[in-house]
Amino acid sequence: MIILFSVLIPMALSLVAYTAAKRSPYLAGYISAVALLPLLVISAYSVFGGVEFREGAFQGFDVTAFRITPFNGVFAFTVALVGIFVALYSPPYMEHRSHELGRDTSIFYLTYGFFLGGLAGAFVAANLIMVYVFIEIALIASLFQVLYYGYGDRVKITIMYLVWSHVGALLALAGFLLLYLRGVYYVPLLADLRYLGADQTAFLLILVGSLIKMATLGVHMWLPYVHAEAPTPLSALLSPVLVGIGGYLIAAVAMYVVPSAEWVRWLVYYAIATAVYGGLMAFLQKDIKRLFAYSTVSQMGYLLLGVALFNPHGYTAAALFYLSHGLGKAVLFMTAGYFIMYLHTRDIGKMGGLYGWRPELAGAAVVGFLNLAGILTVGMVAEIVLTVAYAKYFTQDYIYYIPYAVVLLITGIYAFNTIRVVFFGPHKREDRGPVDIALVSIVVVAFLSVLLFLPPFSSALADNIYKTIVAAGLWK
Amino acid sequence: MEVVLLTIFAPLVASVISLFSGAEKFKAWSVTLGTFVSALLATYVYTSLQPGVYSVGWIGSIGAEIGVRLDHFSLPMGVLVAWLIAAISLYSVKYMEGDYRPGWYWFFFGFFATSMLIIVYADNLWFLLAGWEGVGLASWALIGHWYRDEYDKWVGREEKVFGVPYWWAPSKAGLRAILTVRFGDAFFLVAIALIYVVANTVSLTGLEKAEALKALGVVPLIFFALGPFTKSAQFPFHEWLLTAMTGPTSVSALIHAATMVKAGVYVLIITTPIFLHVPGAGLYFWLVAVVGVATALAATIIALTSMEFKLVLAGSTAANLGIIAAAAGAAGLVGLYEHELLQGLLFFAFLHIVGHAVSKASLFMGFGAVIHEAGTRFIGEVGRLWRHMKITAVAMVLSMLSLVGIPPFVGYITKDLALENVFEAGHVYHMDWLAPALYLLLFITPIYGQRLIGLTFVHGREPEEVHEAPLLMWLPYTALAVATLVLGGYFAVFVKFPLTEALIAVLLGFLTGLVLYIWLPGVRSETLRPLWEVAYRRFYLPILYDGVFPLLYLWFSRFIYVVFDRGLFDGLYHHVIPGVFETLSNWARRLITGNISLYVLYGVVGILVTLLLLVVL
Amino acid sequence: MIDLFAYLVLALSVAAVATGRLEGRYVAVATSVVLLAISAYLGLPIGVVIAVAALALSLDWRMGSFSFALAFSASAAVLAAYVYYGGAPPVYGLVALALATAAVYGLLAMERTRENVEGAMKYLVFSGVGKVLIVLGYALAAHGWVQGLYLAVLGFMFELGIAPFHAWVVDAYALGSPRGAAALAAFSKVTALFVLLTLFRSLPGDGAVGLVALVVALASMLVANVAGLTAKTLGRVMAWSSIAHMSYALAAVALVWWLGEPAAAPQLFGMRISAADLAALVVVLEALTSGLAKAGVFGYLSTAFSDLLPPRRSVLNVLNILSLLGLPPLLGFWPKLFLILLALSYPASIAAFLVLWIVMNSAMATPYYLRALRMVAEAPGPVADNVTSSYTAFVSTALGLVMPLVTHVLL
Repeated sequence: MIILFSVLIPMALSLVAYTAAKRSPYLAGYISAVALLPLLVISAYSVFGGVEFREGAFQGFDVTAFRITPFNGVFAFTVALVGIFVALYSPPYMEHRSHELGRDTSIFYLTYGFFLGGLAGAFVAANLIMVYVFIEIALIASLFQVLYYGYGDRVKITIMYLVWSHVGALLALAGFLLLYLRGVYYVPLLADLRYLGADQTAFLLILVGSLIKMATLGVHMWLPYVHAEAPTPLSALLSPVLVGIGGYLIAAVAMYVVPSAEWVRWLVYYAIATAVYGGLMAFLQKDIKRLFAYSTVSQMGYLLLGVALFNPHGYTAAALFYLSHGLGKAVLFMTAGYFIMYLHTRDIGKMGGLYGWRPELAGAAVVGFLNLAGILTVGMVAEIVLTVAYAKYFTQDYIYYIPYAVVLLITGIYAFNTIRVVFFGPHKREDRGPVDIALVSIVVVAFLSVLLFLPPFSSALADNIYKTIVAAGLWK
Repeated sequence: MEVVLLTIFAPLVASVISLFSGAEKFKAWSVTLGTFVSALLATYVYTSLQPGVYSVGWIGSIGAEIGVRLDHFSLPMGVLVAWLIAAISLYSVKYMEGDYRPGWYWFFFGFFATSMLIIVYADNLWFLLAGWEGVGLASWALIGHWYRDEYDKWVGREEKVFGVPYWWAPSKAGLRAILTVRFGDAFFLVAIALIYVVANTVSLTGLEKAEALKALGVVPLIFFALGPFTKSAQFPFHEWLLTAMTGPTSVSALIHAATMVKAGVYVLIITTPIFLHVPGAGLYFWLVAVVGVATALAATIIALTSMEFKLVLAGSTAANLGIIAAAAGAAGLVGLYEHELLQGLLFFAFLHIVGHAVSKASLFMGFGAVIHEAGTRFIGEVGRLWRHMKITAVAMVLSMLSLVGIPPFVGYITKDLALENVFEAGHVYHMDWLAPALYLLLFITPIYGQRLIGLTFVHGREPEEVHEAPLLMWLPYTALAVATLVLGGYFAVFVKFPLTEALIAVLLGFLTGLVLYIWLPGVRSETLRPLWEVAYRRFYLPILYDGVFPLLYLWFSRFIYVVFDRGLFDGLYHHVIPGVFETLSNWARRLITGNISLYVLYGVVGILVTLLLLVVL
Repeated sequence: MIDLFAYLVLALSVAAVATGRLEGRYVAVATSVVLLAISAYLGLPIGVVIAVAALALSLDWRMGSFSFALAFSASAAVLAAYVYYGGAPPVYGLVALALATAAVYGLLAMERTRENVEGAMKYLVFSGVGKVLIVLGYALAAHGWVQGLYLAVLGFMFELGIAPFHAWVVDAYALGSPRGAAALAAFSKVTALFVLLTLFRSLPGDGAVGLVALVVALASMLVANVAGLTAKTLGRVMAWSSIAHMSYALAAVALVWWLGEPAAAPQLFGMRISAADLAALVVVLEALTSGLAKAGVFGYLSTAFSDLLPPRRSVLNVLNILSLLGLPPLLGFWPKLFLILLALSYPASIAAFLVLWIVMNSAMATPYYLRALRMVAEAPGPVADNVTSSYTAFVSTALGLVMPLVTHVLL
């Protein structure tokens, strides 16, 4: 029952956090962070130790079937890690926001644990229906956060978020039900199944539903709006950890019924197109949160590419991208939140020369961007593994490597250009940004992303995931 | 193995330690100490350790290992690099005194040092890539060090050419550097992945024996070459190096003269024996050689017409890098025919790395002192400095003579040996255009060197109050200047003293330069002015890189944004569809009027419809 | 066993005569308790749920003589449930239906305002027409005429408020007394649905009729969800929601009428189940979801009619509205899930179309459920949760959570 508890504890403790928030958001933040520790421990043990955890019978229709392998463990680990630090980061921000709105922070902390618990549950649940249920729990929880604490036209944005996510989740559910009717009750990857045979309808349903949740090209439109107007701690969770669930579902479920190699090829093209599109759009944005949102679209293209390449290196890369993007984007969104709190602006035109305002923040933000660009952080490991996967797929068709290189370049362009526009240039302000727990969280997460690049950690990560995936029945 | 790792990582450790104190002196001296430890250890490694390969596993699934290789290239390169780093670190202590951002500088200095040493010693290509990206990042960080973009830190003047600004602030220069290098690195990464997929190993020693490389085509090699081309500022990727002069001069000396840019050509050299086995490698080596020669010529012309001290030196660096690249490519070309000659030819190419590094590091540091003392970066604003900075003047003359390749300085020996490779390849492959091109190169080079010396130290407007540089600054570069002579002697005795027709071209150029810039205070010619303009504007390439490309990218992105993102996706999902639903919804509700007879009517209509359906379906 | 009900109705009728002396509330409470006992005795869990709902309503509101109406309507609902589960002759179901209609009519007009009367009257007219058609249809069909099924189905469309026969629903819910609306949803519609199921089980299906019914149900779903998007008051939103839910229920039954049993029987939680039984399950769960949730939402309003923004807040009704939306793990999720499951058992093209249609409709409904949620949660006044809203929210959540077990039991 350990896995189930580690998923339920954040939800249970959120009730405590709710009452605590009425007195002090700081207390609520700490409680929310502590609630995620069991999940962090168990997933870290799996990922770095190469150990597997299994609960439930996997026979018949068992709703208590859970499993953590290094592959889905990375996803759960990221959820826990980012969740903890965003929880620690949130109190100053939420206090600021609650003053603006004239409403207390209790609903935020009530829904925080449900959101993260739901998300983590979706990654570790083995029963397909339970996966769906957890996703919906996460959706409803985050919905209330946008509704009560968002910016701009909150209500419209909430409805937009609700409708899009709901459609996505329902389509995926329909796909699951098709599998269910064939006697497949569990997530194929976690149940060690082999390739299930082509099933166009199920594949399309799960694929489209997952792509909507991932906000890839064509169904990405909700992400910029929701990210920009959601309260920033939520944005720091939506982008890094929520959208990746789509990628996981495609990898763990949809690819088991992919109709043919032709379909796989189109998915690869689509992934590259998404990565390019997101990068181009990110370059144009003036609102920093929208910029990061489009950057997420682009990074989801990378993740999807890893899955679409349909080989063990690709899957490993996808999991690693989830981690590196999760950490990097969390840093960046938290930075944006810091700007909102202390500079009162989201417009990069009004920024510039901010390195001097708070050097540590600039350093951490640079590290955040490095994760996206794949330079010397755990993002680099992800990028290298993805490139190897790409080479394994395309082998000697050299022309295809050019779009790939272009994708890397486009990411570099918007990343370094944004750093320049925001942090370099003549000083516009005389004061200094304050040092508070928000800043500390940002710096620590940035540091962790560098730490995970170093040998004992990166070796364990990459090799454990790879071993798990190679052993999975999909390739036999 | 541990010693080598310590050599490599000592500077990084020192950098991290330096973060923990706010005091500038602490940062400066801790990093300098780290670099000296590294240098001493590198010497120890050179003298005492057995050549070989030592490695420890990193990520098995992609064949990544932390592996070091000690051989006749990495051992001397390591010593060279580590000592240059240490020397420049010492210089920086004084040069960077009072700077507004010491923490950033010193952190990236040590970070750079470690990354460069990784490249030097690495046996595993993924490990090398880590160092490769590291030097790129450090370069970006240090070029843009003076992030406030003050005017005196720029390259260029505030002027526009065809609407494109011809000035580059540090942050802009940093962006140019990282994006150019990123372009190359993307292909470099792809190439390494391809090598892994084909040969199942990325260990350099393993690849030397690999049969599987025969299955690789020549295209991956070209992808591979793009990494070194961009890193070593080969044509047409040389622009970033020129504007990289916005960085502190110590950075220019270290990264953009002595070490980082050498990483690219160094990799070209050490991979030549491996790529020889790939079918179609001839094309690859030919490409490297041609690009090298083209770079050398173009950059030399730029150096001849630049109006800033550091730009002349930067152009000269690019040119010499071109020579090394050409030498490497030529060695490969010749090696394809006569295999036994390969290692020797490669060694000559490698030697020029040493020769050029020593000369150029000294020149950069010296002119850094000039800029520091005289307060200007432009040639011609101060002059007759031999009266005021005697030691510097002497050191600069020595280094310059070495750089432009006058015997018996080391620069002559190594450059000539390297160019012998190219001549040889031209001879073997009947590339008749090669020899004249090289003679032209050898002719122009002394001219720009003497122009720089002449207009700064001999002629010009004498300034009021300029002192000699402080001891901690002139010591390193004067020592290096002397070393150019000493090393010249050493190589002449222990390696070879080349004596070819090339010497004639050099001497002719030297005489011309003597007349034009030492005897005469420079010369202006109205007839040659258009040619000069083209060269001064660096062949108008910045218009392409800073104007055309960014504009095209921006327009393309905007087009997609307006048509697809806002128009199609946003419009459809968030305006059209909701609008349609809203209209439909209001119509549907309007039917509920409250009038019961109307409801009955609906009911009757409904019954009729169902009857109809019953019949039809 | 039917006699038990007969005695109850008789007793109530007698007591009704003596209205003046008896406090209506006690009658309603007593009836609820008796219904509870009867349901327990007959082994009818649904009956228990319904009876307690009636109990809750009677505890919350002082309805005077209208309590009898409440008692009658609750009895009708339990009777109809018994007719279906106990296998009693369908004619008793029709009797229950008539009883429910009359009672609810009275309840809708309870406050005697002009709006109430208007709403109640519309209900009466259309419900009456519906009943006539149902009786006629059943009679014909029982004698072997297939047209009988068509007439009966038409009758149900009137009775349940399927578009295009839906116009009265909006007025009835919005203009009628909220207590009446609660009874409408919790008892009248439930009765109608059980009668539908009884007919579904006892009469042979017909492909043509099934197809027509399916098409109309699907169209009705769409109309209801689209129209609800711009509905402005709580009562109207609930009305459109009701139409939509009834359409889902009809669609389930219609699908099985049209295509019969599929080649491979669907599976539920690892057990094989016939399509007919699955459809019946969908209908029962829809009845419960819609009935309970609306009882809770209407049952907390103290105004004379519900065509307005609620003056006081309710926290527990948020759960009811989420259940109507179909959010797991609440009760309302399961009928939708089972309906999709049912659709998926049929050939791919039909299944795909149906699933997409259902998914789109669910998604379309989310904005107006959200609006209803905000109306209820952000009303200006103090929290007004009462026994009804608490009970219904509790059942919606609890039943939803243990649905797998419940299905084992129900099957």
